This record gives sequence, C-alpha cells and structure tokens, in this order.
Amino acid sequence: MTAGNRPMISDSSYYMQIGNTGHTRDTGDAAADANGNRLEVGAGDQIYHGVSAESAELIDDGEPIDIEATEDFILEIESNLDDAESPETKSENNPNLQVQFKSDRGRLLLLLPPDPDNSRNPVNSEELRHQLRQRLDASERFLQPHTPVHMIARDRLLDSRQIQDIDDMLGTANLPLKRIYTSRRQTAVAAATAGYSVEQQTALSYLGQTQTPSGQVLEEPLYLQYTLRSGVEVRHSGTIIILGDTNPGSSIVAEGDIFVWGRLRGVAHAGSGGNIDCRIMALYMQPTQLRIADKVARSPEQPPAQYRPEVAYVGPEGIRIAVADEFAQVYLNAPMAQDNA
Amino acid sequence: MSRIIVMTSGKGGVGKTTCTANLGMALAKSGQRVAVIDADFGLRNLDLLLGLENRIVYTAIDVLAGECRLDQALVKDKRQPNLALLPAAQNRSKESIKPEQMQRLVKALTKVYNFILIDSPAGIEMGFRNAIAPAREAIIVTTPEISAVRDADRVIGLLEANDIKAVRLIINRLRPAMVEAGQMMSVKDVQGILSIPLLGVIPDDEQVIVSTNKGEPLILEEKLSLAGMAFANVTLRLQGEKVPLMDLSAPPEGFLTRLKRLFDP
Amino acid sequence: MTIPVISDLIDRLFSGRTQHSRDDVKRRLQIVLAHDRLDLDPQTLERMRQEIIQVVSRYVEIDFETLEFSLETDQRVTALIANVPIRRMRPPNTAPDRPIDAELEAADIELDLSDGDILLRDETEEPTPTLPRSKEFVVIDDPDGRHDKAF
Repeated sequence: MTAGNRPMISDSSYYMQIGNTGHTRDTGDAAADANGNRLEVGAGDQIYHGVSAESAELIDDGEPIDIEATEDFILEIESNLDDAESPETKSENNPNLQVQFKSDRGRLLLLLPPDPDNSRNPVNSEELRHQLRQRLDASERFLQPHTPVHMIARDRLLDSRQIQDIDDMLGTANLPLKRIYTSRRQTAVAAATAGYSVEQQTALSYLGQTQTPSGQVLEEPLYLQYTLRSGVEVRHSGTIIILGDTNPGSSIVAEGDIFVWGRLRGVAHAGSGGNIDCRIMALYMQPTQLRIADKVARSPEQPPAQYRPEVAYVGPEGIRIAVADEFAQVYLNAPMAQDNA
Repeated sequence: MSRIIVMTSGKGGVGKTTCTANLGMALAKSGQRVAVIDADFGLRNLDLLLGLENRIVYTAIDVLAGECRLDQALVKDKRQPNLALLPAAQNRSKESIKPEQMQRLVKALTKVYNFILIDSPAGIEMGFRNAIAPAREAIIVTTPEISAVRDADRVIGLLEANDIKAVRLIINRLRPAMVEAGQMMSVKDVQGILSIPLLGVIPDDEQVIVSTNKGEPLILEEKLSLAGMAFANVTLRLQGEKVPLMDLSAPPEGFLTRLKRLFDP
Repeated sequence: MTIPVISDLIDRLFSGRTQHSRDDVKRRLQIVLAHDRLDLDPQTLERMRQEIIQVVSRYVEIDFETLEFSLETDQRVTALIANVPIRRMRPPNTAPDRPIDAELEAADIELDLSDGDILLRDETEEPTPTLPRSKEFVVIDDPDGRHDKAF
C-alpha cells in the first residue's frame, strides 16, 4: 500500500462526552478511511467504550489476500481505465454534478450534468429526466412560475426530442425555456432546429458557471423537499438540505454539510471534496453509513432507545455523533479555535 | 484454476440470492477463498443477506470508474475472512455496466479467489447477460412451481447458447408433505423435466426467513437447520464429493400411515 | 377380505389415486416447455398441422373429431406427436376430405375482422343523435343516477 494512506481508524474510540452530560453515542466501528484502506470492520464487532486493543487485530485478519497478487489485479483494472479517459474530461471531472437549478442575477439557470462519456459519474438521459423531475417536485415552492429558464447544457449531446422533453417538463412547472447554452455543435443545431434560442460556447466558459475546482468556493446550498428512496443519489458541490426522510439504499454526497430535516437512514457523505470540517445533521440519525471527507463510520448494532436531533462531525479519533443542542453549545457557540482542537 | 459460477433462475423470488449467500459462506468455511459478486445493479440484496449492508463504501461501479481499487470495494466478512463481497451499485441501472467490464472484474478476482459466485438478477435482459458473461459454470435455482421451472428451462437454453456447459440444478423450497400428497412436483419431476444434473434440494424452512432478518446465512448456525444442512451438502457436492440426497420425507400425516399399516400389514 | 377394502378406501379418500395438481402441473409444463424450446409460432404450427392432414387424408379417411396434435418433450428432446384416427382406407378416385373445420373457422375470423372496422364505425355514428339528450337530462337532474328508479 502507498505511503499516503492513513492508518485504520480505530473502531473503539468513538465515544466522547461533550459538556459532561454523556448524551453522545457511538457511531459504531469505522469501515475504512475512504481514501485507501480496505474495509476492515468486523461483522458483529460490538463497540465497547474505552477498549483500544482491537484495531491491530482487525487489520491482521482482514488481510487474506497476499499483497503481490492484490497489486497485480489492481494494476490491470487501472490500466484499462486510463485509456477510457480523454484529456478533455479534466474540466468536468467533478463527480458531483447533477441536474441543478440556480438563480443568477435575476435569471433562473438550469444546469445539466456533463456528457456521460466525459464524466466520472455519468448521468444518462434517463437519469437526467429523473433528476429534473425530482428537482422540479422538490423545489416547487421556490420556483416562481413564468421565470424564463436558461439551460446550461455543457457538453451534453441532446437531440431535439430530448430538448423538447426537457421543455415539456419545465412547462409542467410553468417555466418557459428561454435559451440553451451548449458547447456542442450537434446540440446547438438540434436546439436551433427545434426552434429554441441557442448560444454555442467554448467548452470552458459557461454563463455564470466557472468550474469550481474542489476545495475552493462551494456552490449555493441545494434545497430539496422530498423523500429519498432506495437507489436515489443526490450529489451536489455544496451543502445539501433535505426536507424529508432518506431511506436505506439512498445516498447523499455533498461537498459541504448535510442537513436532513427528517430521518437519515441511507448513506450520507459530507465534505466529499475532502473537507474534514463538514458535518451531518439529522433529526433522526439512523444512517446506514456516515462519511465525512475520507472517514467512514457505520451505526452501532444496538440502536439507541430514543432518537434526538444529532450532529456527526470528525473529532480527533474519527467520526463522532453528538446531540445537537449540546454540540451547538460546545462547538458552535465557542471560539473557532476549539473547533479544530 | 478458479471456478466462476453464475447463480441464476430466470424467475425472481425463487431464492437465488439466499443460495448465493449460503453457498459462498459455506465454501469459505470449508477453506476456499470466495468472492461473491452482486450483479443486481439497482436492486442489490446480497449485502443484506450477508449482513454487510452498512460496510459498503465502494461498489463495482466505483472500481470500473477508477474511483477506487478493487480491493477497496471488496467487503470482507469478519465472521468468515475467506469471504469477500463485491457489492453492486444501488443507484445505477443494469445498463450502466457492460459484459466486458464484468469479465474484467472477474478476471482480476480470479488471481486471488478460487471460487467466484455471481448472483444474477432475475430476468434475461442486460443484467443477466452481464452476470453470465464471465461465468464458466452455472447453478440454476428453481422452486417446484410451474412458472419457476418454465423460466429455469428458458435460462438453461440461453446458458447453453452462451457456451456455458456445466449447468447444475438446485431445487429450493421443496415441501415434502405436499409432494407426498400429490400437490407439488417432486425432485424427480422437476429434474426429469429440466434434465440437468442435480446439485441439491433445499427444503422449505422458516429458518431461511429468520436468517435473512438477521443477515446471517443459515450455514453459520451452530446447530444447522434442515435447510442449513442441505446447503452444506450442496457445497460438498459442488466440490466434487459424493453426498447422497437428504431424506426430506418427514413423517407425513402420521395418523393416516399408522392407520393404513394397521389394516394393511 | 374386508381389510384390503378398507385400506383401498383410505387410499382413495385421503392420499388418492385420483388426478392431482402435481399431475396437472407436469402435463402443463411438458406442453409449455415443448413449445418454448421449439420456439415455433402458432401460425407455423397450424400450417404444419393442415399440411399433414392434407397429405394423410389423400390416402385415408380421417376422424377429424378426435384428431390430436401435440408437442412433447423429454430429456430436452422435443417430439411432435400426432394422433390421427383413421376411419377407413379411402376408396380410389374420391376426393380427399379437407380439414374443413379449421379452415372455415379461420376464414370466419378474417371476415369478422374486416367487417369489424365498418361495424364499429356504424355503431359509434348511429347512437350519437339520440344519446346526448338523455345523457344531459340524467346528468343535470340527477347526478347520482337515481333518476331511473325515481321515475
């Protein structure tokens, strides 16, 4: 394994008291740090507070593969992937791009994810429809009817039928499609033929939308009001706010914080760009798995008797969960220095 | 050489995934290095039956997209370190992966694991084609019901057309009392109709549901249930041992047989 | 003597030698699978049936009532089983019987279909002049449809 890998997160030290009240709970054993180390979590390892001798043993018996062979098979996969990525994908390498509405100087922008062929997290046309449908449903209250929509199609290849389809869906929310911005000639031609106003641009300059390299300025929060069911994944290069439940099998991936005003039961990954200071907050924290930056934790086998609004954050020992109001007292009302302590 | 086996059925709900979980676990218990692959993209379940659902960080899709290495996506089972699960993505459709990619994944796994079980999705569409692409053997799971047997037959035909010659049969959810009463096809009936070698018969057993609830394959029980024993036998036969079929005919309608014996010695 | 009789009775009453769903399902499966495996469409099968009958009835008189054609399958091999009861040898110089039933039925179906278009159109056109009045009346005066009972 490479030198850059972090050591295993010990699975035994997620217990921490905040403000002497003791109302914190385990996140369970950590699965791996998402950056490098394999999943070492034991099945049925119950987490006991204050036990610390187990992490070494975990790594030992989780290693049934001889390392030589492991490297062999990894290399093969990777070499195959290299030629699949063309140089122009660089600018669209953010895997968190999904369909998104954004207001920009009085205009409503509809941002489409990049072409599936050029994306690390491809969104095909069927998924595109789903996402648009969901965004329309979930943010209905905020979309003023009759606001002209400017669609940023990036490098997506759209035919006139697909454009018409998007227009129809926008039409259900009384949003007229005013203009289409694209970097692809075929899309521009198709849009123009279908009678839309088109602006063809070079690959990198999108209206009001310069690619934010991860780690820099985050997007505006994405606000969604609906239930995330199994199989649904919401990704966003900023903070995500869900007004509703997230069910097992769903996942939220945000480069910023995650707020779930409801039950968090799926996977939640905050700070996916690597920001370890991101947090996950939920009224009812019962996740399949929590990730913050490259840290991973899963719920304890024994769920707590009573749920209260909680906050997951990264402490010195990994992901921890604290009751929201106590977390606020200690972390949010205190000087910043303590935040990173 | 590794054995690459696809578990398939055509019809859904006949117990493919349960069989995969138990067979995988049993093979691992017997000292084999086993990788089980969930090929049901979009509707994954194998992780649940193995009780590994909250340990998934990466999926096969992430490996193929170059987001992680293969060994990072493999979920090791703490109860049985010889077993690893390669999970499917839940947020993708079956069309998001191609047969060649499946072959590449499996080829890589063969360097480390000597048994690779692929849990195929129901149906005979893209997901099925992905699942069978890398396989050299197949295990057909069916129940003694007309619809399941018909679909199994169709799948056997498709496997033969795809050059998978070693096709064997598991008959699941057999209810011996019903067979006895002439209300369910017997093992012989089903095997006679499908005419492929029989790998084993799993009796209908409530414990299967209990084990699913717990996320612990039956084969991990300390005292094996009838179905658990049946899975253990299947595992032995899969490794070439000759194990006679279990006698599943539980004492049927005791009163009547006794009454009959009384009159008809 | 009596003991075997009682035993027999128990057999027939309880476990039974009578037709069981197990036999039904086997028979149905065998037929279904034979068709599945052959992948022969019903039209082709019917044409084949007709042609076989034509050929056979050139030589013998066939009992069309009890004629049976079926596909059966065993050990992954499918066979066409034809049960063609023969009444008698055909006297020379008589024209062969034709499997009239099937052909006529087929012709009937086609006729029905071609007429169907016209009929449908006629039907939809005809009632239109009379319908609106009664409909309006019912809807306005008695939305619950109790009109009929009341008057």
